[in-house]
Amino acid sequence: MKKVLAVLFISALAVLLLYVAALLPPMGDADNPTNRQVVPRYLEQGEQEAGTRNIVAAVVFNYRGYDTMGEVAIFSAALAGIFAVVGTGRRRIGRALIDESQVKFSFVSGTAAVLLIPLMIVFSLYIIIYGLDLPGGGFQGGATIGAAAILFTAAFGFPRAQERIPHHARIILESAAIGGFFLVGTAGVIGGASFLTYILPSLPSEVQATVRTVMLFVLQFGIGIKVGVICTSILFALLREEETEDVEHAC
Amino acid sequence: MWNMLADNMNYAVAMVLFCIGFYTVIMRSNLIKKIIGLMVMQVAVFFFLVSVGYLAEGTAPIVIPGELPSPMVNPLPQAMILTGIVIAVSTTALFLSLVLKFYSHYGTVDMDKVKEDQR
Repeated sequence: MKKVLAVLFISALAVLLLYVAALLPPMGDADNPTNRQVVPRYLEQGEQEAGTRNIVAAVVFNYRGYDTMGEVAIFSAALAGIFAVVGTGRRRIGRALIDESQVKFSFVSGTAAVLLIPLMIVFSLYIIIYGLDLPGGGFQGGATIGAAAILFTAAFGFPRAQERIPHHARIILESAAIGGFFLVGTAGVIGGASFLTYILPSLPSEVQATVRTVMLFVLQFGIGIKVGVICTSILFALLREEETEDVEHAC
Repeated sequence: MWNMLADNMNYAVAMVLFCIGFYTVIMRSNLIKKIIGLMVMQVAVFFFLVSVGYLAEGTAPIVIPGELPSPMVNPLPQAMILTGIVIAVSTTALFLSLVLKFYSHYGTVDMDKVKEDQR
């Protein structure tokens, strides 16, 4: 009964949504409202106004800088929420259930991880550094760093991963990345311009472009480190829950 | 009607994907499967928004010096989805941590079993 009702409801919703999809302007048409309002300006003047050849980076770090700031705050808030749910109890080097399983880590997965992880880290640094001029950027590079950390944990176990990526280093990196973002963002405000414009009016105009590129680079790198480190921290927090569970069962 | 739907095939697929995710969320009693349904819904929304920014024969929105400006796809949805994906990852991690807590309290991730036990 419940299932029939649910299927009917979902079908009605699907018909409604498909009807709306058919009424929308045809996809890929240059005259669509989405391609007309503010977007031509981004595409034509983004390079001069934001100082990046990658217009997506220009939108993320300049035109819609407040969104990025909110995103940084939400990501940190999610990590704080996870700690609030699973607890931060000070722990020894933890043992997760994954380390006590009967299936041992195989030679093949370890070798593959050893070969892959340096490549992943080099690749993520590449897409962070070239993010202003080529496809890529801080978010993508940070996600790749996080994936490398997850691969390391999966291949060599939780205790070794915790040794290699210690807790205090992660706290320092997270704080430095977020603090750097806000510092760079407000630098323009102190100089009398608006938030995240990277323009310091007191400097001579020939230095402006260099200063802006350096600031954008710092921002890009900070976001990359932040995303990677918080991904790792989330993984460790979730694994640690298994460990505390284990201790409770033993007692 | 069908012609217009064929023009907007990407939108139609995104809508169907959204409905599949919604069905999973309301019908499955397993919390992990509910989260998978939510992620399918998120992906549907991202797919829809990126499709909105598509431009026929447009190139990636990267200015190459010394080349004639060609029509470029809309960079705005791409930038928004870039942040959206990160938010989706963090909310999913938060959901998973709540499910871990649920499991440690009830010993199961199935909501129907919890209801039966409470009877």
